[in-house]
Amino acid sequence: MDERPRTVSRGTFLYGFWCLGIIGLFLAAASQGYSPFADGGRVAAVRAYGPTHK
Amino acid sequence: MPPEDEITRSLSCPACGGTIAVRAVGYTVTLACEYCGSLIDVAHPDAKIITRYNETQARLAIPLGTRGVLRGVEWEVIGWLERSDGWASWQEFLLFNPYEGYRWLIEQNGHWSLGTMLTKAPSYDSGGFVAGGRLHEPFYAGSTAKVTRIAGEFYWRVKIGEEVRATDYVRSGFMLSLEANEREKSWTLNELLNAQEISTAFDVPRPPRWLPGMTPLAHQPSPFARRFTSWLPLGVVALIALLVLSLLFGQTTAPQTFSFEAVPDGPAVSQTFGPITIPSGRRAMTIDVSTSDINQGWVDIDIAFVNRATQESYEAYALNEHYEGADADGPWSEGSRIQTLNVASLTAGTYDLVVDATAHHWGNTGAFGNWNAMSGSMDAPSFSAVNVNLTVSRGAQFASNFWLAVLFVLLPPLLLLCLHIMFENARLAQRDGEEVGSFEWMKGLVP
Repeated sequence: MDERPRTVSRGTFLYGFWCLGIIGLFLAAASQGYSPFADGGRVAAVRAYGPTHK
Repeated sequence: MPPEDEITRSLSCPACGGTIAVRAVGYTVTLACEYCGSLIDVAHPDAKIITRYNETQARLAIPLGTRGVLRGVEWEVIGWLERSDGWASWQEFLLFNPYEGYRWLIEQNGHWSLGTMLTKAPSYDSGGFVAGGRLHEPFYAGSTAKVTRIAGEFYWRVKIGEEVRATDYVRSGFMLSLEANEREKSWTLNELLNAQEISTAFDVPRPPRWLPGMTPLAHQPSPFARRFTSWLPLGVVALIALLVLSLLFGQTTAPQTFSFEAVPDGPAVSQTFGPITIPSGRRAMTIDVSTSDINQGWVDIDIAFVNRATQESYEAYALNEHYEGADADGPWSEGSRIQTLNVASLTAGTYDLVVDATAHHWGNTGAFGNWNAMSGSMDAPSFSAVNVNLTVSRGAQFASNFWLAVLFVLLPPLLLLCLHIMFENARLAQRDGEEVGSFEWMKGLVP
């Protein structure tokens, strides 16, 4: 294989865009105060009380 | 160098009468008729037939006589032979240029390598051989390669069934082959050609992409290693960006503190606090719930942000508890007296914080109530009230968002890494002599 100068491949570009997309979504969620795992609206289905120590 | 007027000449095949061009006049010893496959002794003035073959000639990927420019040199394909070691077969095209001499173009599984015969034997070092200043490690430890089909012309008296003992040493992209028979030893350095080079030079189909289940060539570099190493810096930059954004957007502001008391096993407490204002847009809210003096019990705390204008409600729930004791292993404690709740995406407006809390005591602590003479029974034991402190702040740090983003950023490189390990395992599994080590795939990541 010859040692040709490295150019940015299409795959690397796509991965770069993928990362930008993830960062963009993260930024949008952060600016809107959104999380799919937030506590708000989540109600404990089963409330277990007491120590579990045996 | 041959005289100019003797570079090519043609002769008639004594077997079939077909016109055959002799392209390397003066060098060629044996010529295989491209029409009937008969082997002809070119050195003989009457072009004597050595062996007659009626085998139908294979359809060649590069027809004899084809010229192509490879690495700045124009080569002509003058001979073709097929070899097999009983397990795999490959084709070797003999290239000729009157100024550069001979080269081999070797095709196996759709991949092409350019072979250059070495005039000097490579030096032995660390269990391998050094050629071109780089170490080639042992791979195939001696297989017998047999010529199965021939067409074109050659510089030695080649024949069907001719055998050589082949030993191969590899490094990424290169294979150093030692071929030996009872008369001689020869070294050839084969360099894997990339798709662009070979398809431009000789108009052959591009080499197939490797898929799981396929067997790579011994010297084929992992197509995933290069991508992995070029993606990794991007992934690291993305992770740093996520970390910075997470810290910037995870800060909380305008904290407001509220507190009330709840008595264990006493009545439920309902309190409304406020106003809590969200000036614009959507904001997450953080509520730190602290019950520092709860002991041997728990506090159920239901919290709701209720929009004063729309009565829209955002609810959350906290369970603060603390238990402790001692057993044969020593003292123990469990539960948490502090909880942090993150409520997502509250719209701008003024809110009331509605809190419902119930405190409970767990089990028998030896506390007894007083005798009630009026009712004639024991009163329930009384416990001191538990302070419930709430700190409500604008903004929240969602660790789940961060880790989810990290997972998605790392997913493609991790997939590449898995494919790379599969590729290297498939490649190294062909190696003779020793088992594939658990972490040998890591070598493939180093160029």
